[in-house]
Amino acid sequence: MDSLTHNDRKKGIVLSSKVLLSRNLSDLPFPNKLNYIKGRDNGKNIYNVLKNELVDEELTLYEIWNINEEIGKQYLERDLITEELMKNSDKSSFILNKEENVSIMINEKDHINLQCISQGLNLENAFETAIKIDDKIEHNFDYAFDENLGYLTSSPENIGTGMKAVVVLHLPALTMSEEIKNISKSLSKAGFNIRGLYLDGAKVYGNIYKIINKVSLGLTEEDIINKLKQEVLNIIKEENKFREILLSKCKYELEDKVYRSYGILRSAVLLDYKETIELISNVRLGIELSLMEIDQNSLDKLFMLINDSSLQNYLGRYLDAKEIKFERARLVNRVLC
Amino acid sequence: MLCEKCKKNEAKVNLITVINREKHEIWLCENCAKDISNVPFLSSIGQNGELPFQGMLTEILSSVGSKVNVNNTNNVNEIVCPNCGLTYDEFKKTGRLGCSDCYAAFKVVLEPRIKSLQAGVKHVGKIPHMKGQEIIRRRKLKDLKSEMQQLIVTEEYERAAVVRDEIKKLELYILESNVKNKTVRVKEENCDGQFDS
Repeated sequence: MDSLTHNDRKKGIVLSSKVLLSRNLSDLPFPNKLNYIKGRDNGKNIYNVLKNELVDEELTLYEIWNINEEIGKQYLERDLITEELMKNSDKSSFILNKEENVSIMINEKDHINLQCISQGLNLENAFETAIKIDDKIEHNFDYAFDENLGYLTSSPENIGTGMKAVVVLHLPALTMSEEIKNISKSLSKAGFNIRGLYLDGAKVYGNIYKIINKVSLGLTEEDIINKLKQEVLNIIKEENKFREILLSKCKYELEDKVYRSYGILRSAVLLDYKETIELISNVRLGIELSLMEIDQNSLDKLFMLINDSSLQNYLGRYLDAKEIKFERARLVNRVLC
Repeated sequence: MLCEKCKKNEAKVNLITVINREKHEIWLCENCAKDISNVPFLSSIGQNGELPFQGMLTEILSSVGSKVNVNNTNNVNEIVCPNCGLTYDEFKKTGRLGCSDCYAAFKVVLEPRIKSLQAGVKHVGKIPHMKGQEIIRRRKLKDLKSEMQQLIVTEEYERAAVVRDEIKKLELYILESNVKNKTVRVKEENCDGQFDS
């Protein structure tokens, strides 16, 4: 098993795995019907309990009504919180650990939306962490739970386990061959959704996708995770198959695309966000196909660092549209050198 | 008591109507009750022709029981959660429920939806430890009760008595733990009050 995850990480098709748990407290209405006074207390109460239970994680509480909007946006663009949470700004908060691989949103769709992230294809690890934290919360608060319906969530689509398992994948070959449409259909039949991570309207760019389970009732958490893993392994196989075809049929075009993208990233003076994501995806494909030697981790970090809010936060000041493009190019240059 | 309408026969039906929160009560005899056509469940009886009183009563009872369903399927729009006040319209717009009681209030709407979306209708995953124990105890109580019934039917009274004692013990335990929970909650509420002031 270790060799498998290690291999996958090396091949780099899987960027990360996530497990999300939705929970509600039994004695309060769900966030959409909750007044802000009780809502704010919710965040504080949960934080106070977890802070003592999980001392090692060095948790921090961010109260949306107290923090700068830009800080919130930065976490939003890194997928640690959601737009929904930002919308409930009068009563929502979130808790992050030191490594920022655990995020607990309070009063998003549900009272508690716990998210645990691990690198590569490692759903078990993320699940284990999530359950550990879930147990700690449960020990101190009474969850809304029904014998038949399981954990009661604000959206009836999540009842039962209240769990969403997510795997983030880099699938350039399946995208280029448009095979992704067929994959999407077969996934849907098996009870999973596939969505683009970067969207321009409805169009996916950057070749990065996340696969999520649709079914949450009638299966155990382990079943869902195992089924998802099986689907992901199949998709990896398909992606590799199409990469082989690409390499054998249009090797020069592919190499040109990779090196050209690298060239632009290295020497551009102004870089647009969407363009940069696409170029990084091309370079990443180059690394995965062993066409070039760059540290994949630092490249993956770039995905997170180049959005507007992160750049502004990194430099500690407001930037206008042109400045952002300039600073983005500078940062990319520095990381790739 | 005489029927308040014809004032001839003995009143057997107490008809209570609530319109715009105003309660009207009237005692009627069988015949007059049948004649009232503006009451939906009574008019349906009229259509079924002559019915003996006993049949009529069951008809009323069953139609009152099923009336909730009729209401829910035909007028789902009118469902409102008694706990949080969520209306069906709100739910339709957002796809979100307002509290855990909504699952009971909107059961007619949710049940088919859940059936079509999910792999099953019964939760098989993780159970919270605290609540889990309560559920297990309740299940055991149910099993014991049916076991006792079985033993009584087969006239094994001595064994039935043993089971009865077990049931008593379990019931007492559940009762006590409920009381304990309640006192904890009351204490919490008191604390809240202090903080507020």
